[in-house]
Amino acid sequence: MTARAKILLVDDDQDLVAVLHTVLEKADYEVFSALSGAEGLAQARTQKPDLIILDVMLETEHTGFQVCRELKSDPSLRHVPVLFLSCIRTKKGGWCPRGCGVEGMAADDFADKPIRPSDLLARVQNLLQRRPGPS
Amino acid sequence: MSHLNTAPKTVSPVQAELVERIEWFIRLRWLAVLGLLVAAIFPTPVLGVVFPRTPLLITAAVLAIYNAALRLQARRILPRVAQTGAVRKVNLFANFQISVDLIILTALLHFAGGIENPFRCYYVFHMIIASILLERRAAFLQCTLASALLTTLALLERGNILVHVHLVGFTPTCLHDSGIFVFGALFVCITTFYLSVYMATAITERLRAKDKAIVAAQALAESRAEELAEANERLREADAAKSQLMVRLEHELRAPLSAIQSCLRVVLDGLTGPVADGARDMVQRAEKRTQSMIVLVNDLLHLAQARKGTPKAEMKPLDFVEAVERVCRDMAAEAERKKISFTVDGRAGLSYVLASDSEIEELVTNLVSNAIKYSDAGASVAVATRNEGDRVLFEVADTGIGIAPEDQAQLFQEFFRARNAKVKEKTGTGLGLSIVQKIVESHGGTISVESQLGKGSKFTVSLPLAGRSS
Repeated sequence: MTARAKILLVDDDQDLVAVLHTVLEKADYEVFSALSGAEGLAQARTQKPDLIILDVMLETEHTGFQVCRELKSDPSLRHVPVLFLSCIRTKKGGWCPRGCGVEGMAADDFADKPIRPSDLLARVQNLLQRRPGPS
Repeated sequence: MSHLNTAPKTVSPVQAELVERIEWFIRLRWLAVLGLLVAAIFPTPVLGVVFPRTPLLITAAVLAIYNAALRLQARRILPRVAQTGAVRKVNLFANFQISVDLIILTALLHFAGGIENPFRCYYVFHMIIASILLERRAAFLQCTLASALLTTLALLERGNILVHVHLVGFTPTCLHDSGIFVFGALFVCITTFYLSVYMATAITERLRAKDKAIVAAQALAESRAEELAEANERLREADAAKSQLMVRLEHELRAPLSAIQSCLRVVLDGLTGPVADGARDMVQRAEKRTQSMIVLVNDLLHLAQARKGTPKAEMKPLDFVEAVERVCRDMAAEAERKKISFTVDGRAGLSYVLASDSEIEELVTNLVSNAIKYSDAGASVAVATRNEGDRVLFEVADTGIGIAPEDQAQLFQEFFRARNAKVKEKTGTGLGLSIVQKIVESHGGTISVESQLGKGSKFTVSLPLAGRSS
């Protein structure tokens, strides 16, 4: 029996976390969640997820871009694909919208909120298929 | 002779000029030394006028030593005064030189004919120099000193208290004995001295006043420039804060709506289990209304951004045809779904415009999506770009429902929707064309519409090409 892919959700919106849990668990993924950037980084280091879904506009002490920067700077987590979720329109490629005040860090993909379950699952599957192994 | 100026605490440009002119005055005095040497040597053999050679040579030597001493003193005082601002010493220095010069000139005159010597006019040079170097009152005091010295010399020689040295060969008789001559000569000289000082100080006072006004204006301009720089900095900070606020506002408005719609979609997709028909109907209605709210919030935020406009400094050269083609590729699927013929003709060639990428994308998206939205299956939507002179033209033509003539005048008003548009598509905020118009105007462009009810519409946007004046 193949192990289920592990997905870490980092979003301070508890309602959206509940929605994503439902969508991803129905698609047979193992889902962990964190409601802050700091908790997300800690979970990433302990759970070693296969994919991280990260809210851009975290309202905690870490913003989504800061969390992404830390993830990509960590040799043990650099290879984990990051999917940014945002309700602020951003250009594909991961750069921060004008005025958000944080230097952007390239994520692996973007998805707009509100999410479309089918669209989200397609992006998750795509990222899991093309993810490299740990360096 | 005491100076009469109140020394300012700092050296002004006027005082700095005084220092420069004193140095010039010292250099000029060497000419006087040379003149005395010439006078001591040449007039007697050349003109046959007996000049007292020895007194002239001694005076020349004294003048040379005195000037050398002044030079050394100037090197000591003037640089330090410029740094410390003690201008009082400079004024004293200037007054001292002029007074001593007047005394030396008087002594020279005594040895060379006294009141008979025409070089008595040379007092006027010193009056002019005093008017340039000193304040008005000090200049008049020097003038009074000159008048007093000349008068004293003339009277002492006439009264035989001082021995008169007659210039043999120059004047036929001892004019110094003639009362009327002495009176006349003194009267002319003294009035000339005072008139010279009066005229010269009037001119220099006006020049000084102008200098002061220029300095004051420069100081005011510098202070205004500093205020302007501070105001600009405050504006930049306010603008940055406003941008931050807009981003926060976007998030705060969209996030809850996104969460609501996400929850509703999960239910509609059956991910929470089977949904009864009645419940499905209610959830669908809620999902639709939430979607409408999201669209309205998006459009309001875009309108706010369009009203604010992108500052010209942040606009960059953008390949307009490439931007149009990029948006049209995204819209092609929707046209195909509605079975609408969709063509894009980008024959404009090189068409760079100075623009905001996101705003141009918004502009093109709104016009093309409107054309598709208000067209039925079998209709056509044609997008074209072409250059015309120094502008690029962007046209979106459709064979859709068209716009009634009475609606065309209000087409670009916020929240306006034509009656037939509301019948065709119930959803719509009426903000799309208003946003388009504001984006076009902020980019220095124009927009026009031609339409026939039931036949279709053509929107034409004209934008200035980058690097060419519009």
